[in-house]
Amino acid sequence: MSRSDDPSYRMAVGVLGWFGMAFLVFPVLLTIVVSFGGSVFIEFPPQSFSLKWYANIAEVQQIGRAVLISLGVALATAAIATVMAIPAALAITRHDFPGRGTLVAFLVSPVTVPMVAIGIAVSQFFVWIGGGTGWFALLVGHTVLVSAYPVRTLVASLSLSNPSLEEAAASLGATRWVAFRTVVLPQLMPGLVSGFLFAFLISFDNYPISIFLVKGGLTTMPIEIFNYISQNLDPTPAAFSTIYVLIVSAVIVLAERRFGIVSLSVKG
Amino acid sequence: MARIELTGLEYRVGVTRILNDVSLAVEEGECLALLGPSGCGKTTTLRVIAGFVTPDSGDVCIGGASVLALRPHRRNVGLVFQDYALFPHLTVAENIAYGLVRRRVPREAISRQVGAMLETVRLTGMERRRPQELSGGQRQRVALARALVIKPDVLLLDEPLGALDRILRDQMQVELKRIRRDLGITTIIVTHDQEEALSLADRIAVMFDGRIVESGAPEHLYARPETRAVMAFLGASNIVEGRIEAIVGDVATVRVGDFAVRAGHWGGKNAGDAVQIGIRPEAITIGPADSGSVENTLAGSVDELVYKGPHTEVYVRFPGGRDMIVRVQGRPALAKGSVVTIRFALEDVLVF
Amino acid sequence: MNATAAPAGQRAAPSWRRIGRYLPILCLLAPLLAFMAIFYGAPMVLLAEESLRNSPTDEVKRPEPTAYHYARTFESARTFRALTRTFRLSAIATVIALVVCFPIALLLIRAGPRLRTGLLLVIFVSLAASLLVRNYGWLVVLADQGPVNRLLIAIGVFAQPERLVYSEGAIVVALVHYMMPFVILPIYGALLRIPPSFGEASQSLGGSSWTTFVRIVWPLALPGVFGGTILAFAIGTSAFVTPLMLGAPQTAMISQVAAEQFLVQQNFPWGSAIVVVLTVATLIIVALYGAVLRKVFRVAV
Repeated sequence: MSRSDDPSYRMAVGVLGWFGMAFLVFPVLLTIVVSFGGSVFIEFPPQSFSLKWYANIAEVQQIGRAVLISLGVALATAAIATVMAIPAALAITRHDFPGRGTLVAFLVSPVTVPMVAIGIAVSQFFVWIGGGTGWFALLVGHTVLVSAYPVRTLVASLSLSNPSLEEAAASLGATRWVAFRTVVLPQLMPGLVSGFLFAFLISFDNYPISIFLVKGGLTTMPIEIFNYISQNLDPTPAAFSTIYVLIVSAVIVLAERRFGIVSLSVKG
Repeated sequence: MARIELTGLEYRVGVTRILNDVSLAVEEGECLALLGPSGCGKTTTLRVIAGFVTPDSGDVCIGGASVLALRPHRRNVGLVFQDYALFPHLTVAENIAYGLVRRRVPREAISRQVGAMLETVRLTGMERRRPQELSGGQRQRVALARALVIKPDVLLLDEPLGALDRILRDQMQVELKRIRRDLGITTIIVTHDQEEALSLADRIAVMFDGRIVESGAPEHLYARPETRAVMAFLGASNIVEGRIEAIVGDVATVRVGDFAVRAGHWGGKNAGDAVQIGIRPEAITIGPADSGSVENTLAGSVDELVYKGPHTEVYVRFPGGRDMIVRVQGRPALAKGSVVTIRFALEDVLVF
Repeated sequence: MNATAAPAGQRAAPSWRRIGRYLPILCLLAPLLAFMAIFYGAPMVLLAEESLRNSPTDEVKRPEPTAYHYARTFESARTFRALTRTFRLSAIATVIALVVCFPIALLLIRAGPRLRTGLLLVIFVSLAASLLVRNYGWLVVLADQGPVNRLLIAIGVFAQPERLVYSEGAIVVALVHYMMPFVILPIYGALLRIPPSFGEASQSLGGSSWTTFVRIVWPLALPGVFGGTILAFAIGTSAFVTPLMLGAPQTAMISQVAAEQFLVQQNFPWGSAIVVVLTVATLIIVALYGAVLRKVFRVAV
């Protein structure tokens, strides 16, 4: 793939590639445009301009509470999963032990196992053990799902790092804990941040597991938004989507600038 | 087998001038080494010939016809890459056959030619192996076979011996010369290793900063370089500054610090000019001159001895703090600090 | 600390000492492993066990453990249709995703550093943007008054706005969109590992860019292709939110059927059986796919 390629090839790659990228971004771009429409229906191009759908977000039933719950659960889940994943990733990358492959496959399997399966299994489990509170079940279900991601990114991050750096630190007088804190942890940063970020986003957005685990008055953002979409035709969800995408984009760009998470995840 | 001619190649990237009016001719069957330090533009020149880089101006002619407008896959060049670029998903035979398949050579002819080429590079029996299973030397020979089997007009080699260890390198040098001699193919070798250039090439073109500064036969470039830079690049040398005191008959006297050095050639310089003189370490002998000899003699003290196996490098220090390196066969019985006389002939003094 | 580490030079240490060697590793793994074993492993086992029970709504009580629900999954027309539909749509979407994503990966490779980072960021944001948002985006695109309908009317394919959403087609389109980041990145990773000299070698030997793509780039990108498509297919078959938002009752996929049995019908044994069938089928396909690659194509997956 260089400047000496045939022009027809270069053009084909360009056209098809950009078309693919357009396909990728088109729905979200469109949603952003529609969110400013004045009509009570979803229409494109919008015939009038209005910001009322943004105001209407507040009218979505329980949305404030749902968003807060989702935020709390996502933060807690991501934190717990990441913290547990750090020593696990260390064990996996630094030591070879019998059954390592199987163990890794087990820990990473929630990525491929259907989310419905996890949701149903965990909710049944809690029924079986006499029912935990809704909060706890929700947290557990989410943690099971997302823990695979910090494990993967941390393992990728660690396999790029150099164990002899710890030995150098030891020879210079650092205890194992100090060496970990000052040498290993900084190297882990991209993997840590991207793992945490993924865990957070996947938990925040999750529907299939939450739907089985919300009890009592508990609800999450995806559940409320989905309910609204199934009962209403107006572009309020478009306004919500726009805000969501803008915030997520900002966070990811910042994370990339500061920690370089993009290049790390490609190596996975 | 064809003649190659590069005319006035210019190539810029941003503000950097990578190729600065590069002109070169390689005769049919000749082997030219493009020698220079990293970043001098030699690899870029190779890539221009192959077609991966389009120069801003200038021309590339192979066999008398300009190839500048041709895409790389239409130029008939055989390229051996520095990392060999053997396709890992193909066997040795399939790798070598790749170019023949592109040229729609019929199947029986392909296996015949591949077999013959494997014999030429002495790898018969390796057809079914994969590149990953081969040693470095074997991989290089496959890369060579792959480039040669298509009967290219010109063979281009990028740092061919760089990845090989000492012993393999010497072996491959001999192999390459033999293959070249048998096939008589026009060859350009790009290298930063002067030993590679000296041993493989019929002619060397030295390149610095995007231009060719000197070209000629290896012996000539080694023994009679025209510039100090070329002398310093091509092998070890002793180079010091001085001033021409006088030119009398066919002897020039150059004052170097406290010493007067007499030179048999002085490259068109005049009395009074500030010059640099160069002497090869192997041209210097330790020991006083016979009476009646016209050699230069200087007295100094032994500073350091570095044993290299076949020879020893003796660092001789002179008043004024200058060191000269003298190459002595074997291991001389010299003590550090002892006073020695060195001598060298007038013809071995080069003046720049 | 008792002497759990065998001193150097000692032969055949007793087994409790050998376990001691792995003790530090075990401590590191303990939190995550224990958590997953209790809250993931155990529930999945329980699920499998539940699927073998009688459900309260069954008239005939069979001796437990019973495979009745599994048989029912394949005999019930609706459920079986949902199962085949799930694999069919997922397979179609995977193939389409591959065709769309490979050029994107090629584009990434030839892009300069800044463009490449920009494109990758867009892909990542797409990955991170809520699935709800992305599916809703397709509801907008395929809406009756949305751009696709308007375009097709404008060029004369439709006479009036057609219902594009709530159909199998809409599900496939949204699935492709969902799969894209998972397909692009492994292929991109595989392409990155191809040294530029390979393409140049091919060209110097007479291969045009197209030939080089077919003979050199594609074969060497296969590990990434397979990795990406396996992941995409697994995601597709597990899809729940996407068919829920973009499909109709007639287009139900298997996850939805399972959820329905659970939440609506309260038929836990059957719901569990359906879920087990889906999970096992997905895992088998993934494993088969991987094995075929390793053995037949000798690709390291």
